[in-house]
Parts: sequence; structure tokens; C-alpha cells
Amino acid sequence: MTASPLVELVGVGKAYGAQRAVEDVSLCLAAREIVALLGPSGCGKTTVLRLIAGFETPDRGRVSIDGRDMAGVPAHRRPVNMMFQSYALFPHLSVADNIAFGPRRQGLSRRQVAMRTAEMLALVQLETAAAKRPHQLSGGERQRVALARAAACRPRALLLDEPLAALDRKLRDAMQFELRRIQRQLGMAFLVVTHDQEEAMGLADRVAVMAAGRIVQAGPPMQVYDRPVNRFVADFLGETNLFAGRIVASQGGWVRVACAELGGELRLPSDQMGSDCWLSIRPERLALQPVSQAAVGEAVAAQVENVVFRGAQRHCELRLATGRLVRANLAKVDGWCPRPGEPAWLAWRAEDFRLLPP
Amino acid sequence: MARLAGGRFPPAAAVTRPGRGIGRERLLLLALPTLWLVLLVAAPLVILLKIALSEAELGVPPYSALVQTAPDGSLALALTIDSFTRLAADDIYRAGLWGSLRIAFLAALAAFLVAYPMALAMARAPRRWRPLLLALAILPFWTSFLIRVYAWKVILQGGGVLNAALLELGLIAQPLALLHGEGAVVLGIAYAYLPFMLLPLYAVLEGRDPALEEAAADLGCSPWQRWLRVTLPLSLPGVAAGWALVFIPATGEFVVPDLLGGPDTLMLGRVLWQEFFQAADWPMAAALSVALLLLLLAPLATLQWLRPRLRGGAE
Repeated sequence: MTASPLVELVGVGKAYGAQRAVEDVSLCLAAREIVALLGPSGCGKTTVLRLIAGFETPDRGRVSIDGRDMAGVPAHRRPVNMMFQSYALFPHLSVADNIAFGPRRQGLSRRQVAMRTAEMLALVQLETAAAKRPHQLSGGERQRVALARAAACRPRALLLDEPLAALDRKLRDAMQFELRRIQRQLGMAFLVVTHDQEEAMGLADRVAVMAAGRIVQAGPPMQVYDRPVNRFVADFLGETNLFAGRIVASQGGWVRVACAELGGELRLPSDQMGSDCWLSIRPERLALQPVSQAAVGEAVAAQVENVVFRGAQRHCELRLATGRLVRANLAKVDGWCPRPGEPAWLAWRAEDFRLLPP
Repeated sequence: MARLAGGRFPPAAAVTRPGRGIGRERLLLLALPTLWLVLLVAAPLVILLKIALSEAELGVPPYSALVQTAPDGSLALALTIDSFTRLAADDIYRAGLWGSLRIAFLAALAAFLVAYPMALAMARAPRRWRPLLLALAILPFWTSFLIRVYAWKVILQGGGVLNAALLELGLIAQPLALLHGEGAVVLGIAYAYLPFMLLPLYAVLEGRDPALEEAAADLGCSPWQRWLRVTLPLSLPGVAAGWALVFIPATGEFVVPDLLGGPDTLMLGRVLWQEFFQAADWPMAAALSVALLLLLLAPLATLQWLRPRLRGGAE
């Protein structure tokens, strides 16, 4: 194992005419790691993938794979493979020929190609579909053929462009586990581009959140989820409730924040300076208490607007006295649950709030 | 039509009497193309076959009647394959048939070799440029076919534009005999039929998915391999259509070989013309047409058979 990362981008920028798709992106992909590039559509995440695959040339910066600078290396000589969002299966070739396409170009013997193809078909459990044409397959089957074809060349790193986007929800959930299993079995590094935050968190060892051509925050999913650096990340990765606040005092790593909507001041650990700020709290960190008793801990009165049953959770919408809507997800199905139209105490623990820059 | 008009559910009649639910509108719709085919394709073919199977005579029309009265007063069908046996025996007819097929093939090949890169370049051009490029490719064909072929005569002849230019540049010492040969005919036909090759190729290449070529590159294909293994196989329906549209009419081409060909450029169109107008041998001319038709049916049938396979189930 080399000490240098498998894929490395340093200060990479790419513009199409006046439109700057990628600005100053630096990113590493280590061996056997899954990194998810997450962002809304048009944030430049697919362009990053295409820069690594060699379909685009960067205007600035450096792309290197396995320690080798990729400047001037055409796509067909790069040691990475890509799984396309549209799958891009060759319609004139059978499933087996699609998968064998890459190994054949690698100059393997007929026997080796046949073995590799059989192995990949088994990996994605499509042995019975080997002779079929792509148009005879279901969406899920096509997705697996696309994966098998891209992985058949045994690249050290696989680039996956929205690998699950075209599947329905149930299949998507199943395929997340499937992708992880295949990735472990092959021992490859995956760079996954997605706009789906659940997919990113479910798949990746590390998540890089992109916005407007830049990586805003990168880290393990739990860290990015729990400690978002700004409003955009907090809002994009998972759901959140945001409240405008004002820092009134700051001392020894603690601040006091005044927030009118939460009916007073909160004290929480932060070394943020300045005055204006945002308070973010995840819906599952909020709790509801019946108004028949006195509130326990910090709380404000709220009116329950809506309760949506979601199996493991109940999603509640509450309206504060200021007219503001707040989302609270209650995990306990057997606990007390208000009905729409009822009043309730909306309670929290101050340390569950995150202080974000304006 | 009746079912369409009836919305989601077929009218009761169609339900209770399946197979007999052909409405009057539907019959009318079917009748028009059927009438067209019978009057303008089937009937002329039958007449052609009848003439081919008769004997040449002096008179009007210049061939023997189909039904003849024997001396004893009985009626008899008079059919003879005399024209076909002569056709098979005589070298000039076989040379004409063979010349037609060879020249049409070379012309279609030349048109294909020119049109494919053109179509690919047009299909890869930025979207907003494509209509303009398409118009430019078709623009020359707004002038008369005859004038365009004649223009090649001016370009190719002994004291023509091309020879004059080559002489001026000192590349040749004597004017080249470019005109009046098979080469000139192939060039002329390829030029005249280029749009018929270009348009189907462009149509199929324009609709291609660029991601497929990227996928091929990603899997290790050099640009040449990419074309050979992905672009070309996927454009085969367009290639087949282009070849059919150029090769088949080119076999019967008369104007181009007449204007650009030499006395030894034998193409069926010219032989037909001679038989018909100079030798007044209508049965022979008809037999030649039938023979050409039969010869062309083979490649057409092959194309038809290949088409579903070529498409490869492309969505």
C-alpha cells in the first residue's frame, strides 16, 4: 500500500465559458475507502468525477492517480473506471459482452476474460442474464450490469455517478448494502457522486459536501451531520431547524445567545465571535411534553399542527407563538404523542444546538 | 379508428365480434395505399413481366400479343422466355448488369466514405450549429440534377477546370483523361447521391448517446477502437438505409453514365435505353429490368432480414 492517496485533486478548477463549474477543489481518496461527493444538482460534483476519469481537462490544479500526474493522459489510459448515471450500457452487446468489454481491451487471454466475466456476473448475481441484451433487463439489473462492467477492469478506484438515483426507494436501500458488500469484496476505493444525503451517509466513510463548485465541508458522515460548518451543510445533510440568534456574551469557550423565537437566552459551548449567528437543531433532538404539567428543562409553548406516522418515528410540525414552523421527530412510538391542534411544550437540551456563522 | 374514437373501451360491436370490428374509416385508410400500390407498382410490374415474356415484332406496340388466335380458331397464351435466354447468353447484357452493380457499389462506397465523417462531424458539432451545417450540406441539391452532373463535365474534361489548374501548378505535363471513364461515373453518382447517404447517417449519429463513447473510452478504447466497436455498430441501421438509398437507384442510373461515362462504360440504364429507343426491342428491355429487379431483391431482402438484428434492441 502506497502512502500517497490513490486519487488526489489539488486546487482543481474548471470553467465552461463564463460558467465556473468547479472552483479550487482539493480532495483525496485513499485505498479501499468510500468517499461521497454530495451536493445539489449543478454544484459541480459530476464535473469533478469527469475530471478524474479524463473526460474533461482542468483549467487549474492537478489531478493525480496512484501518485502519477494525469495531465495529458487520455481517458482510455487512466487506471480508474466509471459507472455512468445513465449506465451507458452498450445496447448492441449482451450483458456478458458488456462486462467483458473492458477486460478484452486489457489484452487478457480469452480464458481470463471468460473467467473475469463469470466472476463479475456472480458478484452481482446476474449469472442467468448473461445472454440478455440491456433492454431486456429491469432497472435494478441494468444498474448491477453497469457496476460489474465498470469493476471488471479491476481498477483500484471506481467512480460512481449517481449510482442509485434511477432506482426506486426500496431497491435503493437494498443496493446501498449491496454496494458496500461489493466494495469490500473487491477491495476497491469508491468515489460516489450523489445528491441524496441519505445515500451519502449510508454509503460513505467520508462525505464531502459541495456547493457552487467548492467543497464546503468534508469528514466522516456522523461528524459532518453533528458538526455542520454552516447553514448550507446543516440544511443539506439531513433536516434541521434554524433560528436567528445574537451572541450577547462570550467567555472561556462558552457563549450566551439570545433568541427571541426560543423565548430567551441559551448557553452553549462555542468560541464563535461576532454578534449575529444561527442556531441549528436536528428534529430528532427536540422533545415534546404535555402542557398539563410544568415543562421540564428549557422549553417553549407550541401548537401541534401536523403529525405524520413514519413507522419508527413520528414527524411533528409545530407552530411557535411567533408563527414559525418547527419540525420535531419523535422516536418513541409508545410514549406520549400529541394530536394535531393540541398545545405542547417544545423542549430541548442547550448542548444539542449548534452555533453557525451568519 | 372506431376504437380510438370510443376512448378507453372498445365499442360493444368490437367486443362481441372480434376480428370483424374493422370500421369503414379503417377500410378507407387501408384502401388508399393499397390502391396506390396496385395501380402504380403491382400493375406496371405485371405489364413489364408480360412484355418481357413476349416476342419483339414490328408494329405498334412492338411486341407480340399475350393471347393469340391459332389457325384453328382456339385461343392460346403466347409466352416465351426467349429474351431471358438471350440475356443470359449475350455478353453485353451480362456486362451491363455487372457494370451497373460494380459502379453502383463503388459509388455507394465512395459516398459512404465521404458521408460518414461528414455526418459524424455534424452530429458532434454544437447543437446550435447543426441546422446550419445540415442546410449547407443540402444546399447544392437545390440546383438541377442535370446541371450539377454537367458541371462535373466542365470540371473534368480535357481543357477543364481541374486539368487547367493541375497544368498551371506544374503537377502534370499533359491533360489527364478524367472524363469519359468509370472513375468519372463513380464520382458523379457518389456526388449526386451524397445527401441520400448523409441524411440517414446524420439522423442515426445525431441520436447517439455520447455517454456510450465515453464509456468505451473509460473501458480502455482508443478513439479508433471506440468508433469501430461502439459508434459504427450502433449506426448500422443508418449505414444500411444510406446504402439502400444510394446503391439501388444508382444501379439504374442513366444520366450520369451518359454524360460522364465513356463508350465502354456499360451500365444497365444505358443498355436499357439503347434496347428501348434504338433497337426497339421492348421485350429485351423489359427482361433486363426484371433481371435487375431480381438482382436487387437479394440485397434488399438481406437488409430487411438484418434490420432487427442491426438495431440490437436499441431503446
